[in-house]
Amino acid sequence: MQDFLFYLVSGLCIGSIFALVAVGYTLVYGIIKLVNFAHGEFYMVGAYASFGTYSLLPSSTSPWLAIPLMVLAGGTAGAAIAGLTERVAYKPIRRSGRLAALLTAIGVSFLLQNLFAFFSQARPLQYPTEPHGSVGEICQRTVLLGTDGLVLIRFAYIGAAVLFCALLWYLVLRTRFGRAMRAVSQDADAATLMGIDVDRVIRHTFLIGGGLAGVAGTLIALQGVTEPMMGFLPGLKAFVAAVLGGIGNIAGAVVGGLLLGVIESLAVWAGVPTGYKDVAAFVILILVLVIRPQGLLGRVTRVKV
Amino acid sequence: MLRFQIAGSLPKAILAVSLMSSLPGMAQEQSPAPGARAIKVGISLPLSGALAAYGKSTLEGIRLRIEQANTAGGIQGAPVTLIVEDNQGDATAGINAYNKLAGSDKVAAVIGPITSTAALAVRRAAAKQKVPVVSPTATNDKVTQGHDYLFRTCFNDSFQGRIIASFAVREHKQAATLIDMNSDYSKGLARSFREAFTAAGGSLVAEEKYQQKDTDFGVQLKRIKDSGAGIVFIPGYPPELPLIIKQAKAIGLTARLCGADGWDNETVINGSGDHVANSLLVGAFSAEDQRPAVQSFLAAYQKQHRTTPGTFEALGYDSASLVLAALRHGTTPADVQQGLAAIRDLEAVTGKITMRNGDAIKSAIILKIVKTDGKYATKYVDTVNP
Repeated sequence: MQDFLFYLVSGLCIGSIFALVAVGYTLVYGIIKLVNFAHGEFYMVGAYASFGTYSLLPSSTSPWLAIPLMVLAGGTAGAAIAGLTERVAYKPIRRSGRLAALLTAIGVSFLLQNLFAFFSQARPLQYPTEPHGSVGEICQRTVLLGTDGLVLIRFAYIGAAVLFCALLWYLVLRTRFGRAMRAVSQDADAATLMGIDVDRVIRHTFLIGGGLAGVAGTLIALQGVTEPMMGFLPGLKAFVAAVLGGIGNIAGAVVGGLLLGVIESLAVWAGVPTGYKDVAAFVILILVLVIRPQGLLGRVTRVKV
Repeated sequence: MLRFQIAGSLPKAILAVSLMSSLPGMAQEQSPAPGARAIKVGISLPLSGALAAYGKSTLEGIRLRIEQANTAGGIQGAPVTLIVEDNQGDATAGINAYNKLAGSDKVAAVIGPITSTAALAVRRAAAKQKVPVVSPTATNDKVTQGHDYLFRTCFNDSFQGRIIASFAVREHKQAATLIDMNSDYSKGLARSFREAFTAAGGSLVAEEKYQQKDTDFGVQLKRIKDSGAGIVFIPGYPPELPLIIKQAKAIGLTARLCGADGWDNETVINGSGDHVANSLLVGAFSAEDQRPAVQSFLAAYQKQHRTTPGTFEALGYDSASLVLAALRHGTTPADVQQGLAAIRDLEAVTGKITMRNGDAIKSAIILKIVKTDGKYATKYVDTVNP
């Protein structure tokens, strides 16, 4: 039982990160039908920004002030790079078709990875775990679950996922801007005719998605490493999570992310060799898509010929 | 992790190694100016991408050795120039880099790629082009097996895995391995460790795997902890390795950690928290080694860079030494291939090297990570002869 709990909690923690990243994927897809493959790089940029903030803060800063500031910086940088990418790379080709946009997204992804590799000399950055009471040390502290230690900061992943998903739910369903987003997602041309500033909605959607990715990257890097390629795998997993939940559906992205994390983890508990834990998750994905091609919470869209 | 490639299909007369920085006025083309034709040596290293840090370290070592050789008069008066290609640590880009260096640049030999996966990929091109490849760090056994044009400066996985297993089995009879399943290096090392450990009377109680770029190793480490292993062999490298070591501490895994040459760098030794203490690893060289080859390399490197060189710098330096030694036999790729195969008892930084079937036969060093003056460092434990 204790083992089961450990695997379940581990899965929920990493699943929360997938959920935060997947929400950004799904928001952007919902608005402009773009699979933004550069989304993982917003996560990476967030991690770098928080590391930069950490380096700039005087070493006497209390970690309880420093960590929120770093998360804020990571989120802001994720939003900024997403906004910049939208303005520079996606907006000029918005009418050029989805293939052009997809290829541009892959190009942006490579560009950001290599820019950061160039400037960081590709050396992975880590928060020093000494002295006692420093940011790095606090983020390695553990809590015992039976006899197994779990890093405390991972519970913040779940907290962040709950907090930001609740805020997003409020934003999308209870505000004027949310209504505009839903309108653009249903029919951008009709929304324009209704007086909605579609460009602004798209821009703000990127800002929100990028911000969530930046927060996720910061949280992971706090107990991990910051390096240029760090966004690739979470980006891929989040994309899978978004598809699993039904791409374009926000609640679906959250459910998909959590499910993906939990399935991977519980597969190991159930005896699947660790080398095959991703395979287990992908088998479930394929099964879901065979039975419900629109994803768990996705809606069927009929295309009339 | 490191590999050496040689390819040769070039006109025999053209063997030019050029070192751009140290040879003002020396044309990089093979203009047959009588007397001082530059000899070209190709370099294929990851200078961008995830492995760029290793590629750059290796290149520093190679550059230092070639500069020294040119200052000392080059090869019979001809300077050596380097033609550097970035293979991004990628197997396909590595083949393209090799084909360009061997086919259009007409180099005498190619140093690199450094990863086992990329070096394995370049074997077929090397057999066709016949320009020898010297990999500084590709340890996978198959890199040189049955391929006359592939050489390596590092020892192979069988040797490394065997050595660490023979030490580990004395401490505990039950071991686990944690393998990077995207890396031929990691898989090859784990295999040789498993064979040697079980042959020595130990048993392997868990074999867990992770993917490159994973950030969460909790479930793998939990399995290892539950298996009761007293030894955990982790043939990985950064950026995953420091995370694995920190998370091993977090979950409460107290088994002795062991590693291979991928551990011997600052990111691991001083970036993994205090759980690295007392870990055993196989190293290519030790700065405590008093042999003149080691001490003069350390002095020259520190004079140029003001930092202490690591495994990659040392193996890059030695790879250049091997190529230079072979170039004294003649400067065509065929000459260099024969020259490399004929190397006997070459005093190098990483040991006294004799080439046998493309493998550098030399001794390995067991290192232990200990804390001195508030910092972790490797401490020499023993030398194991091949």
